[in-house]
Amino acid sequence: MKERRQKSILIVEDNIGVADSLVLLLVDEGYHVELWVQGTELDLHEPFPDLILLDLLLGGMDGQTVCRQLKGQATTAHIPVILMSANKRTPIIAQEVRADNWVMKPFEVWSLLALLDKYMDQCQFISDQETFE
Amino acid sequence: MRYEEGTPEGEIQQEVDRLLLARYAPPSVVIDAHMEILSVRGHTSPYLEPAPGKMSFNLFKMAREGLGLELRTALARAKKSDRPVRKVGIQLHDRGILREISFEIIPLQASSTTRSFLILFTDTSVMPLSLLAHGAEQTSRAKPGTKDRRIQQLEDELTSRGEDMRFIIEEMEGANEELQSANEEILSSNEELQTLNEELETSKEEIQSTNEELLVVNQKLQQRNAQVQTARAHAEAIVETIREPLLILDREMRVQSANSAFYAFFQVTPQETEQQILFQLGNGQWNIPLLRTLLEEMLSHKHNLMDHEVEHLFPHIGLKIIRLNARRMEDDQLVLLALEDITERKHLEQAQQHLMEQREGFLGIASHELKTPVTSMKIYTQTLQRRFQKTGDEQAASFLGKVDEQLNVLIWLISELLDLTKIEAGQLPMYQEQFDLLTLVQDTVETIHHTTTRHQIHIEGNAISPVVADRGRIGQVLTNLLSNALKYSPLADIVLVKLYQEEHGTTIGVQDFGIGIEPAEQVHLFERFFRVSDEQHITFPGLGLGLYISAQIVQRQGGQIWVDSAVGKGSTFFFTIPHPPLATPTHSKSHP
Repeated sequence: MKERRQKSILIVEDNIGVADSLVLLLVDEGYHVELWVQGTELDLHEPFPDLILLDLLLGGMDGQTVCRQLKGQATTAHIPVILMSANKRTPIIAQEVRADNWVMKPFEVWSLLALLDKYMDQCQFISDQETFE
Repeated sequence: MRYEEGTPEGEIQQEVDRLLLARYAPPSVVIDAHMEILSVRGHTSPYLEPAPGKMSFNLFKMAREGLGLELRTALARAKKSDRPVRKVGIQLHDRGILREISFEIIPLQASSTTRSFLILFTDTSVMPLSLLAHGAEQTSRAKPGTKDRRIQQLEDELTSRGEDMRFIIEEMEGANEELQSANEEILSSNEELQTLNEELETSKEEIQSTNEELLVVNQKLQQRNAQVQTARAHAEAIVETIREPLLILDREMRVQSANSAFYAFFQVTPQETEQQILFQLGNGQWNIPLLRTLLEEMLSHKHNLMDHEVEHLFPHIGLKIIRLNARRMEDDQLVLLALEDITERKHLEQAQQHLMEQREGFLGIASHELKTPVTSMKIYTQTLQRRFQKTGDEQAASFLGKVDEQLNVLIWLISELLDLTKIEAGQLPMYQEQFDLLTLVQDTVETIHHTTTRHQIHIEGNAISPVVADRGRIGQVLTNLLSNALKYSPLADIVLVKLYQEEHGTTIGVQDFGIGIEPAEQVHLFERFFRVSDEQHITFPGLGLGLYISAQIVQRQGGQIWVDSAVGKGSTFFFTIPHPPLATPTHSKSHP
């Protein structure tokens, strides 16, 4: 549990309700949570988060583009990205933009937490690797 | 040496010939095969004379008494042998003078087609009959030698007559035979004529019946003609009444006629239209390059013009979109051109299209906007539930669990309504991908397991080969069938999911051991808003859209859905996922 508390998650979500509830949940679960809701270009700095939860339909900015950028840069390509969307095509889009996984809104909390656990564990063991495909 | 006729030498020669012929040549006649005398030379009256009655040049009729028979027999011989025949010692009594004559018949070879004969007459002796009779008495008395010679002479004559008779008899017999055969021929000809007559009778009957048929045909033709005229009148009435402008053009695109709709629509008169070239009409307002090309292509390629749309600015009536249909008529001599004004319709279609696009956009936004608040509600609820579980407030946690269940119902209803709206709009998109069906079934069963404490869900069979379909939608169908199975078997504790790998695809069956469905209701199961109720008419929650949406999803992917059910025993819902027809999968998925 001590390990996990150090893990950080970046939530990219422009809906206040979803963002707020996710922050509450993930803080409760012991994660360090950062939230990015603005419609401006995402500018990541060190230290990078251990995982990114990315909403597909961002107001003003396309989540797909963000994901492509993240996966296209050597410095950020290793960070696991989980797409969140109500779009039925999410599984296909996830593959197209090289996201690591996806959850369909609305989702069960336990299924999201299970996914996070999976990638955090991976992260711990193969933290030097840049890709997680 | 030859002498030309008409020259003095020639005339002399001819005269000499004539004299020589008269003086030294025996009297002679030339006859043809029918015994007609063709020419006479010399003094033939001692042998021939015209017979009383109608004038005839027949040799036998003209021959003097006693000579006819001799001539006849000799001619017959000459004909038969084709050689000259000579007869001597023929006695003729002529006005008290007994003359002994001879003649010779010579077949002439001059003509190969007609046979003719030359008969030469010569007198051997002439004496008065009285003298002869007297002399004969004298000689019979005085000279027995003479008598003997006379007897001998008569015997010879008798023998020769006998031969002649025999010859004539033979000839007669031959003639008889010929007559008989001619008779037979006549008889057979008669029979043939009779047959011919019968045939003619039959032909006559046939002609009569043909005539009757022709009369009937004629009547029919008249009827047809009347029908054609009626049809023509109809066609003209239709052309005049129809609201679509019509033009009839000849090969040179000259207007033969136009209907009232044409004049009304394009605001022109027959005077300025008929017999004008289409492209020159109304200051060349029809000189549309596309129209010209289309019509020329149509005539040269011998096809008809179907539904070509032309947008054009017409002087009087403004910008119009015209749909052109043209048909070649009467061996390409005429062209029927129909001009349908679809400007209004096009505008409506565009408006409709715009509306559809707006609707599509709305559906996307509605889907997102409706799901976003419930997403946060679920996270809040479950986070709070987890907090109460950690602090041990089980009651509060349980309440929140119920809130979460109701949220799930709400989510399900929202997605059903959205799906229905999409189906109605024809916008239920399918995203084909290749995936492992067994994994999907296991995942779905696991999710459903969370919603029940009573039922166990078992998976039977194995789908070995991957399927190509919309994974999410197939998952939706499975979820729907499984939640139905739980809902309609409240007293049972087992639900089965069966997988069948078949030649044409994969079949999935979801079996419950619940209330079952009446046969009458089974028919309507997959209809919109249909809801099953049990014997006590207890209605089960839901909009009655689940099976309709499932059926739509399955059918849109080329599959089938059906039910096998017995009241009180339970139901099995089946659906199929067909193998793609040699299509490569559009996506392969490597995600867990």
